[in-house]
Amino acid sequence: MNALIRGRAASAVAIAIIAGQLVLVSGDAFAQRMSRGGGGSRGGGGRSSSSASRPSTGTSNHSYGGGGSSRPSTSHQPSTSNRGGSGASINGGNQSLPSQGSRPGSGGSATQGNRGGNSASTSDRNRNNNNNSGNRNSGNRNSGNTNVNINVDNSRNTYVRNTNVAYARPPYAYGGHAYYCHHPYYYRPYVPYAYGPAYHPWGFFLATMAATAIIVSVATPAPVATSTSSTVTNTTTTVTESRDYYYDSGTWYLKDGSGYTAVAAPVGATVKSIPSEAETFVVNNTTTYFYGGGFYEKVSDGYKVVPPTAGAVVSNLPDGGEEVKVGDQTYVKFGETYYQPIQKDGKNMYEVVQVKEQK
Amino acid sequence: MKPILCAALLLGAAAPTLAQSTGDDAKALTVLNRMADNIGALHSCSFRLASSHDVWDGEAGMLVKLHNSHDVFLVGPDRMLVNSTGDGGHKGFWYDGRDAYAYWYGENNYGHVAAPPTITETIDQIHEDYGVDFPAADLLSPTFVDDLKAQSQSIAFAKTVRIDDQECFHIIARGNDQDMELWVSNDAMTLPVKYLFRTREKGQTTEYEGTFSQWKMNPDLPATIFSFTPPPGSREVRLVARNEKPAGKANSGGKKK
Repeated sequence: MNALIRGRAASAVAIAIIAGQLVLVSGDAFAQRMSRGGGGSRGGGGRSSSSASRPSTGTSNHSYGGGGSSRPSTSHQPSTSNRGGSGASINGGNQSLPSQGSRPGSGGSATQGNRGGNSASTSDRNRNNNNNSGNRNSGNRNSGNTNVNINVDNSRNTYVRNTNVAYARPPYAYGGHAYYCHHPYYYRPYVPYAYGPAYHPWGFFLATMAATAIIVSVATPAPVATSTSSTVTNTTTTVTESRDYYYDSGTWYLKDGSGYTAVAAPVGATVKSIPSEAETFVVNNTTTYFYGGGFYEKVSDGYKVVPPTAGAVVSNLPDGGEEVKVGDQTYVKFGETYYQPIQKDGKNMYEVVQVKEQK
Repeated sequence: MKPILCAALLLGAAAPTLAQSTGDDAKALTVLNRMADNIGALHSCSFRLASSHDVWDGEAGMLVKLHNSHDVFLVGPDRMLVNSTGDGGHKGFWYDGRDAYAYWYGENNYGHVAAPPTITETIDQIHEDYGVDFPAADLLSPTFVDDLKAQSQSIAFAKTVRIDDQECFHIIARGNDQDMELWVSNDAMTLPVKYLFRTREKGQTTEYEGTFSQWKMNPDLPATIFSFTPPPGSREVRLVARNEKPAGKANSGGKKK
């Protein structure tokens, strides 16, 4: 009998981390231990006398990711009365095949004809992951000097650098990935730090650029691929582009239509000065500066934007982050970077998380 | 109540049948099927499950056992409330037929997803997407018996034992990687009393155990308990699906870009 393989919790038990094991959620170490659907489709009436007409689980098409879903906004309301004793079965009725000859007569009218084949396919749902890194058209560029449309992938500016410093603390495990931090998780609600009026969070639209702004031309770190068609062959060339960023008082902007949009500090850009409010710390034996979600290192001609370094600890996070629940832990996510709330020397801080795929 | 009365009568009639069965598997499957029939006939129920499970404590370098307690309320086909406390913290899960909410009391934050139209589908989908495991979900599954048969090499009726002054059928299912022991009440309801999963993986055996109490069959549960209202000051957080590639994955090699 083919078992329908549902996420099997047992496989992750041994590697589950105590710090992250909670009861109801993130239950890689918890109860649902059996492969499901041994009898085939769980749709159908089953043997109970209830009106269990469960639709196939393979047809679910809900959009996940929280917030506004794609479901029609019809009059949703839980039933207004007690349903006990008169409603449908809690599980559609026992749909397992009766054992041969061993059962005293109940359920002889099982609707077994519908049980074969269709597994409870839960893997084909449409999801809305809000994972912007995969949705950018970084290669969508016409090379004919007109209609140039380069979408800059700013996600690269927030990717995390490893420190190569061993973690004494076991990671938090979720979804096949390990989330490493040097400090223990210590939750507190994310309250954005207010840098002052000059700072603008990522995504902020500015109609007019300040006169004090400077233009910094930054080469895009990754190549932009363009396709050139001819009647005979198709060739792909690699072009390194540069973009003009606008930098003013610690905030970076890109031209956006009639105005400017605040973006992540572009890795590789160098500016002569950064705001005095920038936080200074040492990570990986390097003095690093943090302002507005951007990390900087001192270079001969100023301050160079660098990717976040795993293990870096910052006191505050600016506006523009998103609180996300990874299993049972709540992180603040900026672009591609996860920050774990921690306490260090009795002070609330955030540590840049190193995420590794679990083998 | 008819199904229950019917089950009671059948069970009474079945007792001698059990004793006369030619094989232990037949006895065990009879009990399991009756249990599944009775659960499947419930229109609503509530119970408490005291659970413990082994997890690897990376700091201690050993397996440790965590304990939790879950109050579960179900109304078929599309209402569920689970309130869990213990080593895993205090958490709640609400499902009202359309939306599912998980709420973390300690952090006063919650996540929300749209949910399928039935309890069973919701359990499956939330588990698949977010790794949420629901108390006793395996036993509540409409295909529990088939699932157990599919993953077991043998299912045997061991003996009758008493647990908390209740006579129970002790059933043992042995599989390649996982064994299950199940204790089912030897009474009219034939409901699960206790179960134990023993999983072998990479040379290590871990256990998950659950003990039921406070079973209520077909209680009248107010619909309002299945609707989640965000508590004052609570914050909504986005739930990251298990298969969502963590964007913060570190670059390999530690090289600067």
